[in-house]
Amino acid sequence: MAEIAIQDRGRLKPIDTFAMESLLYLTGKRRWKGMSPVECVFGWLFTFEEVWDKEAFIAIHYLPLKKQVSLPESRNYFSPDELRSNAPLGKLIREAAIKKQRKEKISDIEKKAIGVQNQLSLIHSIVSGAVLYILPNPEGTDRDWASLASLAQQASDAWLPYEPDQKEKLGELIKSLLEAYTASDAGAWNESAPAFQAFLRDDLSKGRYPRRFSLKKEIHYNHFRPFRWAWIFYATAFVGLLLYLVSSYSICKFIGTSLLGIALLTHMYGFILRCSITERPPVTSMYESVIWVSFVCVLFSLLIWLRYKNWVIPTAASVFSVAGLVLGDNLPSVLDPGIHPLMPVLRSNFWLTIHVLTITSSYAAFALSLCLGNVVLGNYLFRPSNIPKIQQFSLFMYRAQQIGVVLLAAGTILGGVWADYSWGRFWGWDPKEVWALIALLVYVAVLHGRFTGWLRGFGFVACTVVSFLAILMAWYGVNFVLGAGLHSYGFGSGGLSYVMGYVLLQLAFIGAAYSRHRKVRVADEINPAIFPRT
Amino acid sequence: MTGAFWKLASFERATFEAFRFFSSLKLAVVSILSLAVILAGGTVVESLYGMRSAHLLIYGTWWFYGVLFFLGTNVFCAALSRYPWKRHQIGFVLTHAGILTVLLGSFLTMRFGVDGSMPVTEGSAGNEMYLPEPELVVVDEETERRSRYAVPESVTEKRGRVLEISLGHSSKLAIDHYIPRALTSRVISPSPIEGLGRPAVRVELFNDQVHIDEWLIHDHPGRAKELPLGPAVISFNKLWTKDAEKSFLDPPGPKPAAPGTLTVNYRGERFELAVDPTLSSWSPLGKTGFEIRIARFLPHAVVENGKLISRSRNPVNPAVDLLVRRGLKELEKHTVFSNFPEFSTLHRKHQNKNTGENELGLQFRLAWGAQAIAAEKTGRLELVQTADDKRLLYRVFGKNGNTKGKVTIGSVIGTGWMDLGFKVSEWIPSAVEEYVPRSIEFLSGSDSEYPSAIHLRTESTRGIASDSGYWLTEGVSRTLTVGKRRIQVQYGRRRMVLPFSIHLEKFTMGTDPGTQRAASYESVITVKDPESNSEPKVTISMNEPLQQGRYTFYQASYQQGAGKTMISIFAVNYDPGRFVKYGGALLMVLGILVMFYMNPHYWDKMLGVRKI
Repeated sequence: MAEIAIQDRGRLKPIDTFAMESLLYLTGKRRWKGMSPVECVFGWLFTFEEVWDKEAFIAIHYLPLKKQVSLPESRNYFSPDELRSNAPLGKLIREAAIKKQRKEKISDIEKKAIGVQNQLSLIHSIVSGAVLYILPNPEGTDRDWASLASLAQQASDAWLPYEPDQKEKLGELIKSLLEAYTASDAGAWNESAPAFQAFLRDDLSKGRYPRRFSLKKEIHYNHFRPFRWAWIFYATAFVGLLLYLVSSYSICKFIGTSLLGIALLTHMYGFILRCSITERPPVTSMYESVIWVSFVCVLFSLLIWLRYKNWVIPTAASVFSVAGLVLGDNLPSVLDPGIHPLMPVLRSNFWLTIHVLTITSSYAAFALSLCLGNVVLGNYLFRPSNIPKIQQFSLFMYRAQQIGVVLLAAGTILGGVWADYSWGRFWGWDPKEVWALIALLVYVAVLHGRFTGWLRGFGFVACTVVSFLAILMAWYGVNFVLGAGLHSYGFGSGGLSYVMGYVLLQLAFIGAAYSRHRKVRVADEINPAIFPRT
Repeated sequence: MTGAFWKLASFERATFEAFRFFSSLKLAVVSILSLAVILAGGTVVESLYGMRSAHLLIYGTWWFYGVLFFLGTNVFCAALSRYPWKRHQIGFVLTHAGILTVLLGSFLTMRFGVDGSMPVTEGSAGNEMYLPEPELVVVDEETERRSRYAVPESVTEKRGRVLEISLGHSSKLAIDHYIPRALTSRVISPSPIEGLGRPAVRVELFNDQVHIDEWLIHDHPGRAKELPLGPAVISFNKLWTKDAEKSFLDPPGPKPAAPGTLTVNYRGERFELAVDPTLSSWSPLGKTGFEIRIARFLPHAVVENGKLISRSRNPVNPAVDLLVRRGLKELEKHTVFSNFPEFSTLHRKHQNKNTGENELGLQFRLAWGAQAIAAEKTGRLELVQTADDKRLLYRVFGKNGNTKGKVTIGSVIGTGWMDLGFKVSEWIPSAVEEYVPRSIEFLSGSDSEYPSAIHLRTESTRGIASDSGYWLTEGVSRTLTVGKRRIQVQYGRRRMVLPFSIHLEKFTMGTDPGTQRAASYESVITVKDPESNSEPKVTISMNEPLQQGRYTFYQASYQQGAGKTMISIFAVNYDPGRFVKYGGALLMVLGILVMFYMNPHYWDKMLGVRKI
């Protein structure tokens, strides 16, 4: 049944994707009590009143909301029935909706209440079939499809361009599905499900149906989850390489490097898969940018490794990759992995693609310089007198920073070229572009600071690491904290506590390394012999 | 050196000192970081108060240009101070020259460029573009002299002397209140002049699910003001005689029913047509210009084989097929069911693609036989103000009978349908309505949605106000009488007339399948240029601009105007600094690349090879 196509939010997709996204939205889980998402959708459709209306499966985690509408705080899941009959919740939702309509500011509790309302209306529109747009339009796949609900409203002139006998057949097929499901008759189900699927594909659509291969591809992407495998491989590669760096056993090196290769290939495979599903270049949402930056970060580490043949570089990069991919894999509410249509100005645009890929690649280079910078800081903290190592790693960090500066400068300018091409304004003081410029200025200031002699050794490394906060602001902060401007495709909310937590940890780490460095008092002035003048 | 230095004239010495100051690397670090901090502040302002405010407070100010100029000087002196440049400094020089070129290009854009927007309505032409700055245009109606005044903007609401304009003859025009983001709301208050107001009631209708809170103003003598609310209607009327009061509370019995009545609602007007053989020819619908013809009458409508037919002559499920025309053009086809008033009556192919609604705005109901009168009035709440303006009476037609009586302000009365109760929360027997803008906070998103507003008043030069003033929101004009003169004041964005006009033939918006979300915009236009004979037809779409003369037209967005006509909005732009900026950017990136990746050793080798 997963291969039934559905028209959902402007895109044709396998019902598998729709079911997965719905289940995630309702429960926050990928399976519910052993049932696959598609099984859940048919369960809701056929046995809602009997089973699901009383089943506690709608996730509400926000404590203040539960307190305010007196839902039991110990529980995280609630049944649709108990939420519907909760009068204070209903009142809260209505008031919040009115405020939202009037464009007044709404509180966090009200925001979450509207979220619950959205969950409830999603489940009810699945149950009524109103969002199940699975009846194909014989005029083409780019036309409006019809929902299951429109089948029930025969009296009105809802759109259903089928012959009467086709409608009858459709009714019969759904009936046999319903009977098989309610009777838990696996044999009957296995008979009627493929018949229903084939009827939609071959009969109703008159051949205008998504290709089976592309549906299968997306289902494979949903279930294989290449980016999760990628971080698992990166993590093991990191362990292997770390063991090698500590112990110098060549077996560790072999395992580490081959796992790193596998991770990189899986990562790339995931990208190719995703791009061929979305039919557009890779970076169009916050989620994709995180995945892309993790990928390019490792690529750049290998580039620098080619020059210096030091395995510390890829090892440090894999830390960032693991972090990025784990976040992407586990925070669907912050980094939405869904594939949605783009806003008009972002479509089919050569300059946009070049601009975005350049800018995000610069983030990757700076991320690498951040990781290597932290390696140097670690050395300051734990082996403060090992100046040759410190200077060598500082040089690697500097190399990554150089790549970043070139790409960020070019990317920011390409952004201007794109904006000029799309709406005739090279520079429009959009916060995203302003923050890209700020990040560039900050890194440039650090580079100049090195020439003035203000920043040597420790200062230079620490400032480079701190400069990454400007990238963090340009990348995450503009969309999630400032929330204004034209780059609104990536707006979202949440995750601030994670980011602030990281920032505090990072600053504490710098502070610790600094106090150790001050105590040891080793001359760490950059050695011009290994460190370039420019 | 020191001796020679002191022999220099003081001006030259100052120049030298300044040069040394500006070429310092330490100053560069300080000025780069300062710029970063200012820019960060700018983005915070933008997030709190919107794009325009950030421009007014930071990016568009003289001091910000000063900061950029300072940085430019810094870059220039730093680059020059290393002269004569050595081979390994090629990258350094290119980069810094690039930065200076970009700054120069930006200056050209800022000083000589034009960046505005131009809305054009489908089927008409436009040659005026709007710039972001607001202005007040004063037109003397007698001499037709136009004077234009820039209105100073501010980020927040401002009261007091915003702008004063002398009109001569010892009178002046003063703006004493400025609102940057105005939400206009209706304010209803007792009329200051007795006998000049209109009756007004504020009615609330509610049950567990709905809460309706509306003002009804009785503005047409002799006709009830009606508020249609789905199946229910609230009406408000003013009675003129004592007898009318009596017949309101004790209406005469129902008229003998026509076999069927078709009720048509059109923009608050109601027409009743008897369904009889005469309606099979075209009948006019009041003064609306529409004509209606009943094509088919189906007393017992059923769907058989996908077609609507009548199974018998008994009125089991009465329905009519009817056609609407204006002039000789048939516009819509409806099927109206007596038993199912909630069905959409319009045939699908006539439905508006975007709203799913009936485009003409006609609403039909069919009432049949004995139910005709009863059904017609079910769900009706009628309020009247008595002839002496002292009392408010009501009557409710519900399914379970009718109730009536005198209204007490604030007390709840049940209606008998859908558990609805109603109350009259305010009643002004003689009221005036005004539209008053109120300043609203900026909410993240777009601030261009809300126009600015100014409050104007005329004064004598001695400062004595001669009237209480008027509100003008952007795009509004008003005629004032000052002394014996009549002047027109127009408030809006500064306009610029282009030497050619753009005629919008057609605007289309593509949507993502199955949604109403815009996927693409496209405008088909013809350019009407008096200097050329041809009128080329061009398509402007997202990312596909049109270059016309020195201006470039970009598809920016769209609006839906009155009567569902589409207005395409173009961004119009002239940028003399464009290629300077591009050149500078190229130089800069090239310079960084050379600086980082082509060290002197490499250069020598490359040049050395060439020599051989």
